[in-house]
Amino acid sequence: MQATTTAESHLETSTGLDNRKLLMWLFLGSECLFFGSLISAYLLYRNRNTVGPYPHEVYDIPFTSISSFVLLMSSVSMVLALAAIQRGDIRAMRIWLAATALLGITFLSGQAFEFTEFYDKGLKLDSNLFGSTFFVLTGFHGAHVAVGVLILSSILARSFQGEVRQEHSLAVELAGLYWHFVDIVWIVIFTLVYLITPQ
Amino acid sequence: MKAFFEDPSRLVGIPFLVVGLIGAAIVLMAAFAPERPAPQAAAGRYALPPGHARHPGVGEYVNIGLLLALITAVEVAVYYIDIAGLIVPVLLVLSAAKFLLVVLFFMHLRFDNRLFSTFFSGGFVLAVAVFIVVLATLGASLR
Amino acid sequence: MARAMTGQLAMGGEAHAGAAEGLWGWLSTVDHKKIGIMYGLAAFVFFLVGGVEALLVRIQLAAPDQSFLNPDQYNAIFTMHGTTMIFLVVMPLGVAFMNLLIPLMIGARDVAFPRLNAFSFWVFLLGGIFLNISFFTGGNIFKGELGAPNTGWYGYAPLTESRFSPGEGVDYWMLGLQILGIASLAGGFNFIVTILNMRAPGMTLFRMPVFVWMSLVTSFLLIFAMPVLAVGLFQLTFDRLFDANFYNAQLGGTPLLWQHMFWLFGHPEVYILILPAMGMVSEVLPTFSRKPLFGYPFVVFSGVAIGFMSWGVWAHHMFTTGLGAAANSAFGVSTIMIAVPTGVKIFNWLATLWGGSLRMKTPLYFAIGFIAMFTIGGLTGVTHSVVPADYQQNDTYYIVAHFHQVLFGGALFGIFAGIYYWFPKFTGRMLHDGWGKVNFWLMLIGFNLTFQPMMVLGILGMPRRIQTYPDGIGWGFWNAVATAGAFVIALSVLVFIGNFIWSLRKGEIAGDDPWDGRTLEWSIPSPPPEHNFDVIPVVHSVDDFWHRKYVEDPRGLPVRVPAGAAIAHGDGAHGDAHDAAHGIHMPNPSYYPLVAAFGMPLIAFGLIYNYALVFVGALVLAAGLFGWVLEPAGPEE
Repeated sequence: MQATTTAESHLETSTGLDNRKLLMWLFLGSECLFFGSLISAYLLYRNRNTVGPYPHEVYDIPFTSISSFVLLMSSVSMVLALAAIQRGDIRAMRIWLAATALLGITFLSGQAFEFTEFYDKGLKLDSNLFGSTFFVLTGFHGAHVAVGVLILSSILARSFQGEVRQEHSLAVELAGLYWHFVDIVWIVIFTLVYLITPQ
Repeated sequence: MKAFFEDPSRLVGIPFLVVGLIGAAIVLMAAFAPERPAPQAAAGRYALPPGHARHPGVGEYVNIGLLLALITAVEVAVYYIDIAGLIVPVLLVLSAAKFLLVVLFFMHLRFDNRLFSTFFSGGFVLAVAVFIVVLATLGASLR
Repeated sequence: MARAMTGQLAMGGEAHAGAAEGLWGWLSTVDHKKIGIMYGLAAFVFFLVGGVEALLVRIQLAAPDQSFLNPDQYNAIFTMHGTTMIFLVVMPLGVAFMNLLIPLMIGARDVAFPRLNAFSFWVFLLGGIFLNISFFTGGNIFKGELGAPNTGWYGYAPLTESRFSPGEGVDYWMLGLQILGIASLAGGFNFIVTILNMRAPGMTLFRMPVFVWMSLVTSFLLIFAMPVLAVGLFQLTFDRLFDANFYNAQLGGTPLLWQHMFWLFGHPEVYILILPAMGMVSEVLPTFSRKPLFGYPFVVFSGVAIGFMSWGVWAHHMFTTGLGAAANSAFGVSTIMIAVPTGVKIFNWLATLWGGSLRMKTPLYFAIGFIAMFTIGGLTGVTHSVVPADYQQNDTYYIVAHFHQVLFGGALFGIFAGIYYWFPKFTGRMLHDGWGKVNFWLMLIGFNLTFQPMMVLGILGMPRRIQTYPDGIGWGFWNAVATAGAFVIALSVLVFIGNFIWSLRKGEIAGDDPWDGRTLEWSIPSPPPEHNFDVIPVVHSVDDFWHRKYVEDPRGLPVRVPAGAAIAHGDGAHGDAHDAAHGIHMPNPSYYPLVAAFGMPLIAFGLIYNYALVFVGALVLAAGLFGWVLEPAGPEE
């Protein structure tokens, strides 16, 4: 992706759209099914725990709200990185990409901390239905964020080698699409999993 | 081995730590690599690739970001206020608003070719539809 | 336009001077034709494996109270038979043809993402091998201790949970299917982008061959269905490896969650299995009737409709699980309705044959066999959709008969039609037609001898998945007939293999267009040059190639146009120097897809045996992916 160009690549396709961008949107559509399945398992089992700990016993909504805010802001920095490379400002792009990656790592650290807190309160993967569905759902989401951080870091690294120029904005755009998708999955998770909890 | 990873924070935290270190290493290595001189940037105008219409500007992106933060704050506030049966619809509407803001503006779907929206909404609608049926069939409820 | 299309695939220079020959050439190829051939050969080897498994089952069931296979062995054998035939045979055979044909039929030089294509194949091959290695675990195979999964091809929880299946067999099954799923996903994405974006100028969607349309629908089904299976398998993985509770009823979970996840995938899956074969039949029938496909728009729309509706019927596999009257009725109705578009296709195929000038060659035999066998299978499917009737039929041999009728009598017959039809295109020689017909008749007779008795056995109450049955219950005769039929099928396969091997060397030279075909692949040499088309054609209609060859006289009969077929020949020379002289640059070969693919089974083995191996596998995967992305490449990956 890094060494590719925007200018020549999407001119001659039957739809006029770039192959890779088409691929990314198909992938995101497919991921809806993936996360939909995980979220559904959580929703199905939400009220069926026969033993604790229960969600309201472990959730720290203020903490998770801050985490969510961090991830949302990372989407802002991501789109600013894209805007930067689209107008040819590589230095600004680097700053915003680094900011996005750092915010992503902050989010992940928050997740790791949250998981530790839950563990200390007795919620393990094997404790009950809540433990299994919660950790697998948020774990996969976190894994997706981690992959995103890797992708952003790679683009950042390549840009320091001078390999990322204005005509490579598609690479940043595609990384951005992936990143925003991971963010909207979290928007859904934050509401359905954290905020809408049985009391 | 299984016991070591029983603690989910380890199962999750250690790989992330590794990822973070790798990422940091990559950035550091690249930062100290000699930078190659970049060729002349595309003369003057930036040509939008086909399939794009106008772009929001930096200012608009920041505004949307503020809006997202605001909606999140409202969501959290609503969580603490007792509005009984209304809480679920209100939260769903608020999160849908955030979802749409990110998808339409940050992911640029509002301005891009319809085909992208078709693929994404196709997958999204399919997921929602089949899983509503699964949950209904198995007698789950949202509250 | 041709220059622009070649420009689309321009890679760094004429690097073919360094392209590897022989085995290394195949390992690093990104050519869709070579990849298609590898898919086909690998799938065929797995077909033989699955066939042997079937014969073992049939030997065991040939007479009552036998112990040729003990219950554990029997369970492992039939589980692997089903898993192999579906995931390692019919799916990859469909993909093989999609690989071979789609670029040729749409006038492209390759698929959109050639390295992703190679990656799909290697992941599939390694996944299939991984799955079959399970036979050797779990004890001494020479003492008959089989470590293969033994929980049925749909692996219902809680049988698959650690408590009830403590060995490694299920681990191999769930991780193997996960690996195979990635191959399918990658292929699905690739084909959609290829079909949407790489059509020749003038080829609108409604001028594409039906096979391409069916491949498009199949690919959408793949990319939306595989993730659901992936999640179900992940949930099972977490249950087995980390004591999670997804399917644990004791803590409030429900095994029905697995069933929903599996069949949400599983029902679109059966359409993934059949649609490519339907597409192939839709190409064969017009050529051998010398008539265009009757009702092209209807055939296309019904294929699309089947794709959409396939998402609404999955719980018909769960009628007997106590979902309740509302759910059962709803799914019963939706299942009845999905028979409609299928019926539309069948009538259109019959109308294609009607009044045509039929040339009775082997591909047509298999295509007609497909129509007849699939109709029978489809009708039994309609009987299942009547919910109270399904209460009797479910988990009996009546169901076994149904799905073999549609998968063997349907998909496989369609695929054989495709093999006989397109073998000349990719090898330059014809399969022997006389022996092809022997192959067909033996297969048809053997197939019916094997599976029609199962309809009867099912109604007589014989359950599925039983290792033996008592004497005096009245099932012995038809089981014996079925076993005899299975060996007739085996004989037909031997005939096919003999024909295949003989024809590769001694078959009649085919030429570009041995069947007087209608679609673009027949306009180029057999076998095609690496770059497919010397000049990308400009398309004006459906069956564009046919309309270049023939115009219609006042009575509507075709009249040959002299030299009409010669649209895409340059100077006739082939080879790299020729390609370069034309300014055609093909994608460079690459080893990275193979490297990346190796990461998957390593991770899987690591999850079963030693977590350190997981990290090694992840590193291998990452190394392969990084190498792939950073490889000097042009506009396409």
